[in-house]
Amino acid sequence: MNQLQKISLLSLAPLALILGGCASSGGTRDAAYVDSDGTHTIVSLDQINIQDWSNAADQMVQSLLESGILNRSPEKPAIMVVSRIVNNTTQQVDTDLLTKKIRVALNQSGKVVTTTTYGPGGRAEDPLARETAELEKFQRGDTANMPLPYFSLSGKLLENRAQAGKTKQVTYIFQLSMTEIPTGLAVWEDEVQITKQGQRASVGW
Amino acid sequence: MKKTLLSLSALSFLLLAACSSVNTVERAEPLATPDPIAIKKVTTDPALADKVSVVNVIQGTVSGDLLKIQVQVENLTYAYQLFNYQVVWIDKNGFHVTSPAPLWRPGQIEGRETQYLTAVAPKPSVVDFQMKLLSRITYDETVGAGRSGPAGKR
Repeated sequence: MNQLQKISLLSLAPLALILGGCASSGGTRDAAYVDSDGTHTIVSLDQINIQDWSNAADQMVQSLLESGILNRSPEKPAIMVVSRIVNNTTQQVDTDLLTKKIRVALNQSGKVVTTTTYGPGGRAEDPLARETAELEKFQRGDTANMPLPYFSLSGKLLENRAQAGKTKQVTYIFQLSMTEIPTGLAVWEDEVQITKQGQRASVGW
Repeated sequence: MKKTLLSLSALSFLLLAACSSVNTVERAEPLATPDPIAIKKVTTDPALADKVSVVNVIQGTVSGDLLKIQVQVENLTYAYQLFNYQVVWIDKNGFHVTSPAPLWRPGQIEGRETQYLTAVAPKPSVVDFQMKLLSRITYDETVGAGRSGPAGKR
């Protein structure tokens, strides 16, 4: 190997290192931590993935904040209760994967607080908080009621499937309504559709 | 020679078949009066910038005190493009808002189409933003195609 060849090889080494850095950390399938909100997560055709919940919740929150309806409540921040979210998909899912993200985002926006002492069918999300509040009221001889929610969030999850040859397509539909309790009117409604198409699950998107 | 010409014709046909672009119609003199802001672009992936390009950014306020932005992107090619984007929000003290965590969203754009990506700030303290655009092809060609592990760095 002559001097010129050596120089050429040495000058190519950094380029190889840079390009290698773009590809991967080794070419294996060893378990590794990935960002739940990043683009390295798995995309499945038979289930709602973690990024689908995040995206649906994010789009719903953006729509809700943009609508301006949260300013209709006389109390600031507005009090919201999470009502029933019906799951009509083929999966067994915990709808908190959607509603909790929405609650957290609305809470952090400073525009909404969620009551945990009221719930569908009279069941409180936090029964201990409710019992303690009632006990305190009784001990103080207080007759005032606890603040009632002004908004109620309800919704439905749906699923639609189609197939052409080996290519499968699944659409998950997230429908939400915000009801203004004093009027009983759905003052905000939105629908988010997430469609995935392919022949098999993939890593990354 | 004949074979070569036939092959080239077939290839051209395939390439053209893969492309389709969007025709649009709109008011000649728009009534909207947007509030465009000066933007600074940092390009580390020129291949993506040559395909999906940011045209302009406008901003406004919604719900009384929340910053809203709209980023106009244009597909400079005649082919359907896939990309991902993320909006990072920055408060008045310069801190990135990490809760709720900024998330990546998938984007698709048809050939020569113009799209508007909108985002609303998660809290009133937000005054600035940064939008990131990421090519999905680069990812598919590396990690997505299964040639490496999921934690590969781009």
